[in-house]
Amino acid sequence: MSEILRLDGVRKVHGAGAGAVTALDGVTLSVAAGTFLAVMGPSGSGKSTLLNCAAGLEIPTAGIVSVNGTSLAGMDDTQLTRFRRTNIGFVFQDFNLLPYLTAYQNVELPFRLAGRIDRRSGRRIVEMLDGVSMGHRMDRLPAQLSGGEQQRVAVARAVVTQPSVIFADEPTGALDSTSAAQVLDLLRGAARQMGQTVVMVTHDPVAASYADSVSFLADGEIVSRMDAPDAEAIARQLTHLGDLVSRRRSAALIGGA
Amino acid sequence: MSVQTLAVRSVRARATAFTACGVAVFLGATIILAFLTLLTTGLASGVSSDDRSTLTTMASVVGGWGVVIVIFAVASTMQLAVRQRAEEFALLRTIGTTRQQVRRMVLGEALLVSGAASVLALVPGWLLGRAVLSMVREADLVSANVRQHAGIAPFAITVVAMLIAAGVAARFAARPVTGGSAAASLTASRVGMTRMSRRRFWLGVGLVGLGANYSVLALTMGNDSSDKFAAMSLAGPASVFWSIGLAVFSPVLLQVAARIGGAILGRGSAGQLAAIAMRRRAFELSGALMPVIVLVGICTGTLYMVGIDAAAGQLEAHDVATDNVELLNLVVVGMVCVFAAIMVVNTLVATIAARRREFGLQRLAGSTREQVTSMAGIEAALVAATGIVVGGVASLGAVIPYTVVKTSGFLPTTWPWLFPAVGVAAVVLTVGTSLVASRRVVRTPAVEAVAA
Repeated sequence: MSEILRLDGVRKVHGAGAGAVTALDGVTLSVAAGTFLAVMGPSGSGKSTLLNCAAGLEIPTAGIVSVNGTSLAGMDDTQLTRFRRTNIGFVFQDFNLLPYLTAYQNVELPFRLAGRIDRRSGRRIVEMLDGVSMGHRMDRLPAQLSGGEQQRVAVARAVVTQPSVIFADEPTGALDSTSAAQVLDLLRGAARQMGQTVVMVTHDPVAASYADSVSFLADGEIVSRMDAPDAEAIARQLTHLGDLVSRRRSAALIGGA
Repeated sequence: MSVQTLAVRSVRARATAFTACGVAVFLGATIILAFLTLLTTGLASGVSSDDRSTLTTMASVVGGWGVVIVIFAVASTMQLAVRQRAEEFALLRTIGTTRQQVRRMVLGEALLVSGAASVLALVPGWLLGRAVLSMVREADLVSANVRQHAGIAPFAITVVAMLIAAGVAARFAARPVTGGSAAASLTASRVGMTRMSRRRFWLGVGLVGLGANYSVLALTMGNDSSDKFAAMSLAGPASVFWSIGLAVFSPVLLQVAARIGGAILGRGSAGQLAAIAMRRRAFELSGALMPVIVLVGICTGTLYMVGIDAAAGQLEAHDVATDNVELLNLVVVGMVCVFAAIMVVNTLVATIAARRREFGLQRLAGSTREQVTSMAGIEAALVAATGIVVGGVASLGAVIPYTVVKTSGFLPTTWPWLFPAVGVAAVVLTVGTSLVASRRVVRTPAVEAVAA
């Protein structure tokens, strides 16, 4: 299978001088087209930073991110935005729909910003909204929808342009378990039925078990990987990682003292 | 934690929302105090009766509508500060804050801000009063030995008036956002308002009616030969009340403008996105339209009166004294116009600063920085165009009666460039401020802007 996303030695340091914090410490990662990858790790392990760097929302301090063979390095803000618009879909924990646009207009937004509105795009938007079971409520404003419904609209918005990669940052973090399951089914469906590549960050072993494989992140590094995971195995691995990290951190403290 | 402490913390955390209100109070108090010192100077003992009547007339004619504009500016910026926080108030209520506590908190904030700003304005206001008085003396309108006599009263009246204006405005602004149940307010705060309240509708009708009343009075009683200020003292308030009255209808006017703008800008463009957004956010954006209407309406109205007088003056004996009087008129009217112009900038900066998160959302959805700022620019252009049309209509309430009374026509033939010039100034101020302010706001990385 062809590689669609590649991270090469990606480092991200927040701040400078004595207060600098290393969020990512040389992450190398390769994602094949059409797979659903989950990234897990204890809090503070750099999961969200990893996703933001991979999606071009944050610029890495060092290392290279390539999407579909194109390196993001050296792009200015406008080039990055244009690239994101066509190549990257993003689903956020807080949905991030525009409050004054209806569900339909929110899904239409990427086309509108790219100046590509026509009959075909209109049909595709309706198709996508039907696909996430929101066809009957597409004239509602986000505030008139439940959290689960808003997130389904957000998934439709991320998928509608058929991007190279869809990133999802804790997409079920603000949802009840039923709505969460619906959203995860949609993401898995995008990968299995439409051949979309999905990279999801989560701290929930049940959510991660929907993915084809899980990569574990600790202290800004990828430490292990699990294929065809189940929730229990993931939970065990997470506990193990938590112990590992706290042992490492206290060792560092003693060593530094 | 008491409601008062909460109010102090809230003011600190919400600096931008209150800056606009504080600026309005500060500048407004400066102008009001300046005219009040003219009044006390005129009323002081030892002033001749001619001087007394000149000073009190000036203070009440121009100072009178100055007060109305200032109160309007304070009320509209206060409303902006309160409305921008509808969701916060609704959240406070869902965690057990009573409706009365929220209203007390808003009132406390209003008094804190207006008290501080009006005290800061005391020295500038006193100095401005001295400057105006010395101009009046140089124009030979009063005898050379009249000295400023302020006393304590003008200072006290200014601060108390500002406290009352801000307090009343805060109570009115807080009512709609605390009206329903806690849950209903929370939903409403997120959907946004879509209809004008009945109270607001009748306030607008009343103010326009008052404007019409002054227009008719100026027409019928403006030609009083015993009082050369009669026409100005009636037509002046006409332009003020017409402008403010029509400004009250801003949300509806903006919805109409967005509909027309959307049709002109065509499908698929960022312009249409701006039009859709404006139609739904008309209530939030109407805060920016109100000062534009007031600026255009009042400047056009009052400056044409000055222009017509100047033309009439040129036909009569031409000497240094009439020149000085013309200059004085221009300076006094200009002061009010500059205040209105500053309010446009002031309000726009506050409206745009409150949109940091929304701009972040647009960027995350794939808007480039240029697309975000150009959308803000298009919105501003629509606001300016609406303000010019509506303000132009409002100014007719003063311009027509004054022209009829002072000349033989209906519309002034002097200064034909004035209205276009006011229009250009309105566009430059509105669009310029929007572009500069939104460019600054959009500089924050999108991920941070949305998280904040």
